Amino acid sequence: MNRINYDDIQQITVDAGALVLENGGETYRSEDTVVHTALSLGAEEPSSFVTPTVVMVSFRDNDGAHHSCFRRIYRRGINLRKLVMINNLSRSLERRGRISDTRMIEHRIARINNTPDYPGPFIVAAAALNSFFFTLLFGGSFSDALCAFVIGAVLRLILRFLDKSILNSFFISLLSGSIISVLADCIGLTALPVHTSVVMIGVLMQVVPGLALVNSIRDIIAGDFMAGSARLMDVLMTALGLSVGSAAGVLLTGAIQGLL
Amino acid sequence: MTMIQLAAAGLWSFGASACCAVCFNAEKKDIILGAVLGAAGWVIYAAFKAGGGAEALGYFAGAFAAAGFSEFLAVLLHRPATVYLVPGIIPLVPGGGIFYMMRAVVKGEFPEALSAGYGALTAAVAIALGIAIASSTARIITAAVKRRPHKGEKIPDHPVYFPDDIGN
Repeated sequence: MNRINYDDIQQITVDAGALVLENGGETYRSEDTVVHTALSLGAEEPSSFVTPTVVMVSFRDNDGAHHSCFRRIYRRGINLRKLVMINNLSRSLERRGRISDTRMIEHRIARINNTPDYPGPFIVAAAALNSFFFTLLFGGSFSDALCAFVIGAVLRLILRFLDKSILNSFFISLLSGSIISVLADCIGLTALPVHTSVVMIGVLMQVVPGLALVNSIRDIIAGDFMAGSARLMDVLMTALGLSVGSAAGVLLTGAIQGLL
Repeated sequence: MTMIQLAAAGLWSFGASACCAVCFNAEKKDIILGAVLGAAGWVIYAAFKAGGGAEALGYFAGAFAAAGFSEFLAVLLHRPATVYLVPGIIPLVPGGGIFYMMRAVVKGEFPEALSAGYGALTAAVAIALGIAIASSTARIITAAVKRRPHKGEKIPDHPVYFPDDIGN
C-alpha cells in the first residue's frame, strides 16, 4: 500500500483552486474544485475558503492531524478554455471516487497551465472587429466603425504590451479610458464625418468588466457574499477608472480648441 | 424599427459577442454558442425597446434569456455556465451609459450626467436581476435532479455535503 503524501495533496489542491481563480472562474467553483480534488486524493473532511485574492485549504489526515495551506493570488485573467479544462478535471475526479496517483493529477494541471492561447495577431484582429461590430450595433455608420476598428486594434496592442509589466488593474483601466477618448477626440477634431461618442463606446466595450459583473452576481447567488461584494468592487473600480480616464480626451480637446 | 434593422442588430451583436469570446480564449464551438446567445439577448432587448416597453424590462428580459440558455447549455454540455454567459450578456452591459455620465460630469453638464448615470444604474440592476433569477432557478432544478441517484449507480463513499446537514 502506498502512503498518501499530504504535502502533495496540499500542493495539488491549492494549484487547482488557483487555476480556476486565475482564469476567471467563480469563487464557489474554485472552492468546489479544491474540495473534490482533496477528497479524491484521500484527504478527510476537506474544506476550503476562497476570496478573489486567496485560496485556502484545510483537511485532516488518517491520523487526525490537521493540514492547511494557502496561496495568495496576485493576477487574475480570463481564459475560458482553461476554465473548461479544469472543470472537466474536477468532474472526472468527482466521478471516479478515490484515486491515489497524485502524479496523474499533477500532470493534468501542468498541461492545463501550459495550454497555448490564440496567437497574438488573431486576438488583436478579434478585438478590432469587436469594436467594429459594437459601433455598428450602437447605431454608428460604416466610417465610424472603421475608426473604431483602428482604435480598437491600437488599444489591444498597447494592452498586450502592458500585460507583461506590473501595472495594477485600476491604472490599466484609467489608461484604456484615456487612450480611447484621446484617439477618438483627435479624429473628431479633423474634418472626417465621424460621430466620436459612438466610436468611443464601441471601442470601450472590449474593456468593459463583463466577466467580473457576471461572476460577482453568481457568487452572491451561491451565498458567497464576501467574494461577491469584493468582485463588485472590482467592477466599480474598473468602471471608475475607464470613466475618469475618458476625461483626458475632453481636457485635451478643450486645451487644443483654447489654443486655436 | 423594421425587421431588417432587427436582423442587422442581431448580426452585429453576433459578431461582437463572437469576437469577445475569441479575446477570452474560448474554444471554437463555445464561441459560436456564446455568440448566438449574445445575439438572442440583444434582439430581445431591441424588440422590447422597439415595442415601446420600458427599457429596464428589455434589459431584464435579454439578460434572463441569455442566462437561462447558458445554464441549459452548461448542463447539456458539461461546461461552466460562465463560458456562455460572458459573451451572452456583453452586448447588454451598460458601458456606454457610465462613460457618457462621466464625460458629462467632466464637462459640467449635471442634468445629462444624472440622466445617463440613472440609465446605466437601472440597466445594470436589471441585468443583474435577470442573471440572478435565471441562475438561481437553474441551481434549484439541478439540485433537485442531482439528489435522485440513477438506477444501479454506486453512491460515492465520501460524504456529500448539503447545507441542511450542518449542525446535526
